[in-house]
Amino acid sequence: MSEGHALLPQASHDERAEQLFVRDLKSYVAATIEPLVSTTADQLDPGAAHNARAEETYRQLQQTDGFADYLALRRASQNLLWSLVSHSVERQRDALDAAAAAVPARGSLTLDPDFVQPAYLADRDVHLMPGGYARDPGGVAQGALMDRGGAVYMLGRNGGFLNDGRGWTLASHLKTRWPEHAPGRMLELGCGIGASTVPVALAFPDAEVHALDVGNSMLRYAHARASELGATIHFHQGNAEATPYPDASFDCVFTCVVLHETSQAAIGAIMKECARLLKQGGVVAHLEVPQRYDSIPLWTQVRGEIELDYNNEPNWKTAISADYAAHLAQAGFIDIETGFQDAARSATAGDYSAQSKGVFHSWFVASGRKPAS
Amino acid sequence: MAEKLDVPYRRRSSIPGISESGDRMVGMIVALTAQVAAMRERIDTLEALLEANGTLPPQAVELFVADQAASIRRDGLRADLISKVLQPVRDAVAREAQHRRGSSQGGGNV
Repeated sequence: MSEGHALLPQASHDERAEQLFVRDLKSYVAATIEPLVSTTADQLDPGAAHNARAEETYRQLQQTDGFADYLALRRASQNLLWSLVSHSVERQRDALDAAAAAVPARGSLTLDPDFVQPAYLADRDVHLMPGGYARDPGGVAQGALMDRGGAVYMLGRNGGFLNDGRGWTLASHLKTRWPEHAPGRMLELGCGIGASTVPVALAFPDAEVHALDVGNSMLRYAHARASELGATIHFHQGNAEATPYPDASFDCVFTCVVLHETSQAAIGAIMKECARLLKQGGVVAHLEVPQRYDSIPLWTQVRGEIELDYNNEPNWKTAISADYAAHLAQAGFIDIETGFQDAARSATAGDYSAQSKGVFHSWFVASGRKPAS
Repeated sequence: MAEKLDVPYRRRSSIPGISESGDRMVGMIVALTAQVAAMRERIDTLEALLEANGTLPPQAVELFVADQAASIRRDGLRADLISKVLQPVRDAVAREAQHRRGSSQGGGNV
């Protein structure tokens, strides 16, 4: 029996053991080593009055041996994850391409031969994934790498091998805030391998669902994967800041943990693009990581610096510091709310409140509506 | 031929306080440990299968006592492993000893 779904790269006996080892190694680093580093960080804290408190703590930590060892171990575990999963996917590459080609296609796939990826993705591989999101090594391999690697990376906390927890949470948010809204056409910007698009499409079976991202291989895989999972989705290659769709062509546009992988300028540009794409009265929703910079402990702020420097997260600190209500208002949206949506496993209304229930228990969501006239 | 998936990722920052070789060493140690973990799990699978098939009575591995010949063989395997793994250290101290002996005798570099 295959894990997750029929297109997910399967692990041999030893590959599974290797991947479980990486999962447990990462857990050990996070649960055993990291609290000790965090204690040191507290001791080096220059105080709340310091105007660059987290940055100064980070600078001081970098003078300590233990922190260097922690950084090296943390990055090595991430590097190992991709190395092991790459070898596993490589072994079954031809079979995955054949399986993807054999799935009866639903929806569509439109690639752009002239596409140029945004600069913030071109100079680094986010999460250290070899080749990054836009690489096209041929076939579906890069998407398969991202799917299997992502499931191991999330340690099973986001819906196991389907990695669909955020998509269900986004759907739950729409049902919570706009229970009467029945979107005819929906669009996800930055869909990746469609892990969140699929549950949204299944939650809104009457909607025509579109999804956009940067990578050929990733999108080929996403299309086959969605078809395999019974979701009809139209995938497009494109840049979320300037999409190929006409004005006022969607009833709902959303993102799931995309903004922290863009840039400061791109956040504003994506907000404006959402306003352009939505019909009057249409709904916009951006789901992000649940940490908010002003309300998180010093250590979590320091870890934001680490994510930037050693996990190649291009926009982590900006995204968790951003004033999304102001961004949405500036783009012309109304009925704006920001808060934390309970993590969901189905598209039913849930709690949406001002308080985070913690990582993987709730997700930050900023949403609003385009004025009706 | 298609591009291999496992290529070096782009944008690797250096870690203050740790040398590039020390950083690589950490990477090699965690990779090696993953292989040890996979091997250990394979042995566990084999034991479980052998037990399930009735080839190996429960606890047979725990109760196994090596006879003299097996003990000698194992001593050799262990010594071989230790010498192979610790060879870089042995070489380093050997060079150092050679160098000091050479210096005291007015010799040159090793």
